[in-house]
This record gives sequence, structure tokens and C-alpha cells, in this order.
Amino acid sequence: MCLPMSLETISGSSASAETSSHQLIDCDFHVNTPPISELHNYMPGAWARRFEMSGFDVPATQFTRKSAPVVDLGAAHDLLQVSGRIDGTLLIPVQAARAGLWTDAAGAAVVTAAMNQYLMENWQLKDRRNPRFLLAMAVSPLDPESAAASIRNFSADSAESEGIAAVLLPQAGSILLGNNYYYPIYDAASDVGLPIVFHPSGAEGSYLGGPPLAGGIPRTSPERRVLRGQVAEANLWSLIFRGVFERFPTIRFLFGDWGASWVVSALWRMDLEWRDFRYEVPWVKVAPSEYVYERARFAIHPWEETEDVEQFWNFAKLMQAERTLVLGGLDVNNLESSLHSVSEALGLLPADMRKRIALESAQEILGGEASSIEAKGQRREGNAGTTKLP
Amino acid sequence: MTQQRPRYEVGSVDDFELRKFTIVKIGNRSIGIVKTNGGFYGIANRCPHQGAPLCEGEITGTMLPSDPDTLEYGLEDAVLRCPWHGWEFMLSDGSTVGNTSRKRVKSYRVEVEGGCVYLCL
Repeated sequence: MCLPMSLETISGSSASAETSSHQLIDCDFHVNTPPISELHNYMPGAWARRFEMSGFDVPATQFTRKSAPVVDLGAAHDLLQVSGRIDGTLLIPVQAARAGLWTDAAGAAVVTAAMNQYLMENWQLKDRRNPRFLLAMAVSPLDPESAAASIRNFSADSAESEGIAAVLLPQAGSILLGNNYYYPIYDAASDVGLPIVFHPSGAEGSYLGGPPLAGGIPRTSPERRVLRGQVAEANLWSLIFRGVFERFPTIRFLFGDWGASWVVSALWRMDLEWRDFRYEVPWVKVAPSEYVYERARFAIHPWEETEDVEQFWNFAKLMQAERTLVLGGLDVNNLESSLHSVSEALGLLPADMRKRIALESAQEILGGEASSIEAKGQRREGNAGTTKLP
Repeated sequence: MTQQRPRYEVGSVDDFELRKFTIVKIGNRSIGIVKTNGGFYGIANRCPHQGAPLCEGEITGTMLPSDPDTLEYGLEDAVLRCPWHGWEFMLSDGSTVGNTSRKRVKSYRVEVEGGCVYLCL
């Protein structure tokens, strides 16, 4: 890639040299689960019969395209290991997020738990080889007490919980995440030290009763995909202004797949409104942006934000990217191309910011086992040739 | 002998109505002096946010930092709220309530002596 001179100066040296050794954690790696018949062993027998009798099945992977964005362990591991550039991935079971929204709250909890169990066993979460697979365990938001119990249950047995690095929480209908409805879940997540992952379930703007988009009901997929950042923005404001970050002093949130450019204006605006209306929310004790910088991160596909390299650099500055962004959504079916795009995008940034986005911010927000990835990465850095980016 | 800072007589105590600013102009400075139940205060008549005539704002109390979903009212007569955007400043030192901004208003000491009110620069 030919860089404008100003960007080369910003980066300190040429992009290709600078990007040769950094480690990556992909914080938004979609994974599939099999049909429900293969999940029977992970749920009570009566429930297995119940689903069999009714012909119930897990949700389809995608609404809009037939190409599979998710793969099984074998393919994923081979691809990622051969690439030699990815040290960790946070597995996002997107189907579980949607199953968690079924109106049958008890059935949703059973299926969600079965999916978690399946992924834990079949994705070898306990295997500490590279790349390390970590799971965002899904919970159903329809029964917060039950969800909280399942979070604590995994945590109670440390060997059983190994590899669980986050809680995937879909939004329940139009109840925004700051609502006290969710507090049992935040309480449990805080107690066990897991961050909450907020990721589209597919219901946003798609189903009546799902999280609504502003202004009206869009009809087409492109509309929904452009507009769904509104859902994340509304929930972020809700978390801050309802005082969730004060009520749960260690809670952390990872926003995946919602885009990120909206964050810039959202933070400016949130701080402005707080200065004018602090008296209405006196429990918001620091500027809203400070809660975000401390305890929220946004997973981006930097190569999708813009094709103009200079614009990407400007975007990173406006975002305070070293405090807000993590990587997510590598396309395993086109991994070389996907990694190349990441390298190009990150290569535009100063080394410190690059390392923050690729690795350190992810470790901060995931905490726990993700922190050990760095040590592994550093060891590997000493092995010439294993971590070269294009 | 310490040098006395200049002070200006701005009226007798009886001239001041509770919570009603008297504006004095000294050079190019516009300064409001006000009597509250907590005493006399002097503060620059210009909001550091966007330059509003701050002393046209209300002297009030406000919500104290509190736990989520609870309200606690306090600081009665200690807070000046800007008439334009509602920014709240402590009359005592010109800082924003709740540290919402690093900007602060210049505050001035006011002395009462022999029934006269003096603004100290």
C-alpha cells in the first residue's frame, strides 16, 4: 500500500516493518452450533424429548446470506494456526443469542445452556495451545435470575469454567441494558469477573417485539445493518445514565459488531448532556466518556470503516482508539485477505495505539484468562518467523 | 507590613436583597455581588462555557452526587445556575458542581465591615 507521507511520519516508519510482530486477539469470532438433535446430550432428557416432539430447532445462522461466516473447530483451528498471527479468539455463539430470545424462557435457557456446553467441549476451551479459544457464554435475558445462576454455576467449578471469558447477553425486547431488570445478571458477572458482551442477535429491527430501530421499521437488510448501531448507542447511554457503572464498580462491556464511528459523536454528546443535566442523574459521578474509556470497548472491522487510509487515521484519533477499540470479525473463510486488511489498517497507526487495539485493550476488557495470552505471544515473538504479518 | 489588596465599597448591607445580584463594573470586568443565607459572595458575571451573563441565573441548591436511583437535595443557596445551559457553579469558589468541567468562574472575596459591603480584588 502506498501511504501518504504524512501517515508514514505518523507511524514512525513504514507500515510493513512496524506490523511484523504484534499479536492479535479477535474479540468477535462467530461460531456455529449444530442442529438440536446433536445437542440432546447437553440437556436434560425430558427437554430433549420435548424439542424432538415439537420439531423445534436452533435458529439459522444468518438472515441475509448463505455463505457461512462460522466454521467448526477443526477448520478454524487449522486456519488460525497456520496463519500464525492470531493468539486468541473470543467465540460468539450468535445462534445462542437468538435462541435466548424465544418466548419460552425455560426452553430458551435449556437450549442456550446446551449450546454453551457443546461449545465448551467441542472447541477445546481448556486446551491452552495457540490460538486460544475463549467463549462468550450465552445467557437468555428472559429470566435474569436463571441467567445469573448459570453464570455463577460455571464459575463455581473452575475446571469446568476454564475458557469462559465473557457473558453474551442479548437485549430483551425493548428493555435497554441500563434497566434494573438485568441487574441480577450484572451482579453475577461482577462476582465472577466476566465482562458482558453485547452483540446483535439478529432480532434488532427484524421482528416486531425485538429491539426497535429509531424512526420506524426498516424493510431491508442493508437498512437494518446500517441502522443497528442505534441499538448499541441507545444501550450505551442507558447503561451510563441509569448508573450501571456506578452500581457495579467492576462491570465491563464489550460491544461487538455494531460499528464504531458512531461512538465518537455519542461520547461528545453524552458528556455535553451530562454537563447540562447532571442534576437529573446525580449518580453519574464522572463524565460519561470516562466510564467508556475505563470499562467499555468496541470491536471493529477497521477495514470496513473506510477505504481511505487517511480517514482511518483521523477516525482512530477521534475515537481515542487506544482506549476504545479492539479487533473483531476476522473472516476465516478469507483469512489471508482479512489479515492483510487488518495489517494495512493497523499499520497506519502509531505503534503504541496499534498494540492497544490488537491486544492490550482486549485483555483489559476480557481480563482473566485472556491476560495469559500476552505471555504466550511474547514467547512466540522470540521465535523468528512465527508471527510475521504480510 | 503586608500590602492590602484593593477593595471597593459596593453598598450597605441593607441595600442587598436576598439572592439578588448587584453588578459592578471594574475596568472591563463585570462582577456580581450577592447576599444569600450563607453570606455574601462575589463572582464574575460571565459563564466560562459560552459567555452567558451568569449573574442573571438562579441561586439555588442542587442534587448532590448520590447512589443510583436516589436523589439527595442540598447546597441550598450555595449554587449559581447559568441561565443559558444550566451549568452549576459553587458560589464559594466558582468551581462546577460535580466537577462537570475543569472550567471555573472567577470568584471574589466579599467583606462586610461596619454595615458596608466591600468587593476585594
